[in-house]
Amino acid sequence: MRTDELINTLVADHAAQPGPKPVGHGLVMAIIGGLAISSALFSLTLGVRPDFISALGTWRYDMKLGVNLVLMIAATWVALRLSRPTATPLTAMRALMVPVLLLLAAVLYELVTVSVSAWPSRAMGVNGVMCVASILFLSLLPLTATIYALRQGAPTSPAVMGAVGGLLAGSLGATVFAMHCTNDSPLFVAIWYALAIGLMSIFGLLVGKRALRW
Amino acid sequence: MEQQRAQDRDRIWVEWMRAANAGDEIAYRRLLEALAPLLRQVVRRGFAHSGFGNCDVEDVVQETLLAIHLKRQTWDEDEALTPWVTAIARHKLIDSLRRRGRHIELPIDDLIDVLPAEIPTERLSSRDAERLLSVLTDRQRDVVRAISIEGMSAREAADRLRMSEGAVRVALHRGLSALAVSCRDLDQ
Repeated sequence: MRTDELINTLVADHAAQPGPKPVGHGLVMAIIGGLAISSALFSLTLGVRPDFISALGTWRYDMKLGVNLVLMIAATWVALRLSRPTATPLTAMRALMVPVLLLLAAVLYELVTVSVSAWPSRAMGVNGVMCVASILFLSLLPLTATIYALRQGAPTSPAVMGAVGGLLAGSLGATVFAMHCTNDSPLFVAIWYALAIGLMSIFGLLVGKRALRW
Repeated sequence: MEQQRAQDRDRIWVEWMRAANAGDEIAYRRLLEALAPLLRQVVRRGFAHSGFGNCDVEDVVQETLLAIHLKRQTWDEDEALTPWVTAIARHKLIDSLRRRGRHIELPIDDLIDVLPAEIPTERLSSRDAERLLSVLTDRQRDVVRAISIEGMSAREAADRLRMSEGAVRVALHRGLSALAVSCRDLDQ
C-alpha cells in the first residue's frame, strides 16, 4: 500500500469519528461499572458487616477504607498519565507513594500504641486467606473492564500500564470487601490487603503485557 | 533559529489537529501529509543508528501513521504535537527493531533535531500489500481498497459496494484496527 493511500483511509475513518473519547472517559466508565458489578457480587455473597455504622467511627476502620480509596484514586491518576505516549513512567508513578506512606504511618502508629504481645493476633486477624480470596474474587471483573478501557491508551510500557490497572482493580475490590471485613488493624491491612492487591497487580502486568500492546 | 522554526511548525500542526478534532477533514489530511516526511526522517535515522539500511522505512512510517490515527485520543489539545508524534514514532521504531532482534535505546532527541529534508522515495511499503490485506474480511478489504486506492469517500464506497454508509464506516474502522494488529504480528 502506498502511504498516500493509507492516508486516504485514515482521513475517511477520521471523518466518521472526528474526536474519539479520551481515555479518561472510558476509564471512569470502567470504574463505575466495576464498582457496580463488584458491589452486586458482594451483596449476594458476603454482605456488609453488622456493625458497619459504628465501625465508621473508629480510626482503624476509616484508615482501612481510606487507604484503599486513596490507592484507587492514585492508581486511576497514574493510569491516565501512563496512557499517554509522552509519559515518563517513574515520575507518573510517584503518586502511588501517597497511599503507601499513609499505610506506613498507620502501621507505625499501631505498633507504637499496641503492646508487642498483641502484634501477631492483630496481624493475622481472623482469616487472612479468606480476605485475599475475596478481594481477588471482587477484583477480577473490574480488572477486565479496566484493561479494556486502557486499550484506548498508548502506554510506553504495556506491562507497567497493566500492573497499574491491576492496582486500580485490586484496590477497588479491596474497598468493597472492606465493608464486610472486621479485621481493622493496619497490620492486617499491610499484610493481607497488600498481598491481594499485589497479586492483582502481577496479574494485571501479565495480562497488560499482551493486551495493552499497540 | 532552527528552534524557532520548529516551534512555528508545531504551532501550525496543533491548530490543524484541533481543527481536525472539531471535524475538519482537510486539516487532518494536511496534518498527516505534513507528518509523513518527519516520520520518514525519524525512522531512517533510527535505522541508520542501529545499523540497518533503509529497507523497511516506509513500513514503519505507515505503522506509525496508523498508530497516530488510532491513538489520537491520547493527545491533549493543550500540549505540543511534535513530542507526542515522536513518542509514538519512537515506540513503533523500537517495536520494529525489537522484532528484528535488536534491543536498543534510541536517543530520540538526536533524531528530530533537524527539520525534515524531503528525500525522494517511492513511498511504497515493501510489504506485500495483498498479504497484509489478507487479514481483513472480504467486506473490510473491499472498503479499504475503495477508499485507499480509489480515493472514494465513505458515501461513494457505500454506493459502490451497496452497503449503508454506517456499515462502511464500521468495516473501515475494524479493518484499520486489524491492520495495526497484523503489522505487529506479521514480522514475528
